[in-house]
Amino acid sequence: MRRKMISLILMSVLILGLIGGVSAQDLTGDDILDRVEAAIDADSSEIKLKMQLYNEAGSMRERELKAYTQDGEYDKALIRFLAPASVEGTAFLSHEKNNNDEDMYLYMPVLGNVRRIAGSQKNGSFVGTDFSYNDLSILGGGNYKEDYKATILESNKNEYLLKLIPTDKEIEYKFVKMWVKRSNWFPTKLEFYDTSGDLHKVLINEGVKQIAGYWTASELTMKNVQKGSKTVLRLDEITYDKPISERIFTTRYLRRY
Amino acid sequence: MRRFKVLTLLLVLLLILSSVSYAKDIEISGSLNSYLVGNPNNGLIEEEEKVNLILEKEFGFDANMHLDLEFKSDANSSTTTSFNEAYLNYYTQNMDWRLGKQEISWGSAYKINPTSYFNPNDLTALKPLDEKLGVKAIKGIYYAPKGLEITGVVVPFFRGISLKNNAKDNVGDNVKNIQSGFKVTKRRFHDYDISLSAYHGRDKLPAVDSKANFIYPKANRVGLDIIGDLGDMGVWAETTYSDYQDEQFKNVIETAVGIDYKFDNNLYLVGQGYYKEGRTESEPRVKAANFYVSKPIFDFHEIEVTTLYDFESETSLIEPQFNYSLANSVELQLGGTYVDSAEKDTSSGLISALGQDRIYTRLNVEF
Repeated sequence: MRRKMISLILMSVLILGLIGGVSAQDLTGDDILDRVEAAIDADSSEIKLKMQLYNEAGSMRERELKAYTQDGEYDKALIRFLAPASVEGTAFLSHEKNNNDEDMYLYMPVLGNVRRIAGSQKNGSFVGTDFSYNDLSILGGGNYKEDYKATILESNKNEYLLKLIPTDKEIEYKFVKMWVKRSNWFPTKLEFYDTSGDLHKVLINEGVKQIAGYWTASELTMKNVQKGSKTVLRLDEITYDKPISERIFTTRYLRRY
Repeated sequence: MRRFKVLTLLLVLLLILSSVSYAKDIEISGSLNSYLVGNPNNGLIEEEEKVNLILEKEFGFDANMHLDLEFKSDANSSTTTSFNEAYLNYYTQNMDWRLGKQEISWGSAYKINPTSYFNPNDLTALKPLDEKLGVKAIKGIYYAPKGLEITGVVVPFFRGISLKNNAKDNVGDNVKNIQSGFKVTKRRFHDYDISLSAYHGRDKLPAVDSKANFIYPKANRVGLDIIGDLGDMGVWAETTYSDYQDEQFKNVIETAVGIDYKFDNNLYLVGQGYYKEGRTESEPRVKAANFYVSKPIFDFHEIEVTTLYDFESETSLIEPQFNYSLANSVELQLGGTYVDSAEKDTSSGLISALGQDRIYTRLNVEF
């Protein structure tokens, strides 16, 4: 599980794909997950986005990111902070093979060197936001079949409500509820329940539109209802399936800022 | 008045540079740091202001320039202006060059790096392990296939850790004092990055010779640096062997071995052991354990604690710090350092170099 460290945040805005002509009546929960997952098939992406982090007191901090992803023998991702000044230039590089063999590197301009970082850096929140790395995985499509078992709780003419139960013990939730639109297999809302079964976080996807043939949410809001904080991701620019030089995904490029 | 002049000068400089940058695409960034340090033993409070202006300019896709201009005013009413770094990057097909005053960061250990051969730590800084002094150097990194990197460095002019009372270091600027080193790094070798390095030059840390003079001993060094994963835990080991040309100094080993781990609640832990033999009979050996803990609180703020214990001198240091985020890129740090030693004289050794009893605040603004 936990594949695609950073690419996941990018993939989170990639949830897409209308697969037409399918008879919805006979679908199981896992079939629907297949539809969502199969739709996330861009070979590469280049994304610029803004993050707004709100704490329970309503104070806000902003971050700006640029990210690249590339699928292949290794799934590769590079994400770099553009703002604010205190983190500008800081960058992560991830190379992942076989879903659990992952190499991650961190570059911090103030230290001036590229340092390998361990898997535990993915524990906790993603760069101080209300997203955990596992949240990003579920948003990005991850490996649903490996990580979750899905059942249909409800359905109507517009959408399905699924219950996802983690099969990977490292996922920190008891279950997740996911609302998926029938028209484009796009998840519009997710609720994350903690190990006690209490609602922990809620994710809303808004501003869904087609970009280069892919359905994309231009704004994602994750609320931590237990803590009172929230994180808003706003997509500024996105390019899909444009060839990205392999040199971008190197420790050499990490330094080059 | 002094500070007013410094700030006026900076303002004028910023205005000039802003207009220049608009015209010539020079990017300006930087930081302002204001310190207050109180000594609970004698009641004295010291202040320091530091402004760093960073100017960057791209020359197409193949080259860029980086200048870090530092203005510093301290408690002695002295104001200094210097380039902490000033270098040109030049990129070719498989090789990156950096020419000029720069920091060369080698080593994977936590803040104490035996293979960091070239830049001395700035012992006048509030946190000496966090700040290094730039050296004039030529550095080239060759990127070979399969994650192999070969780095070569030449430093024409020696710069060591400052001697007490500004004593002259007696290291002349001539060819025989040129320092050089190289490093070969293999990345992703069975989940580990491995570096082998070699160095010819002088120790940055002065030693007392048989005639009671402070000197920077000449040495040849070889080093090994390994970092990787053990499960989800980060592990590293960094070690050097120093061979001294002057027989009055013993050849020594310096080693740092550590682990780090981040928990689901964002608690981050570092544990590290450090060992260094004394170069002379009178120089103490260091056998230290270093721990670091940090945890975000209320989302934007952070509390961190650094501890260090030297088993040889039975000296310990504890340094808690609270980082309060006032706004984007504006942070107020509140902290204190407490040193406890079995020996009355703590003026020598690793821990004394890192700080004495004190409480401090630091306002950091980055732009």
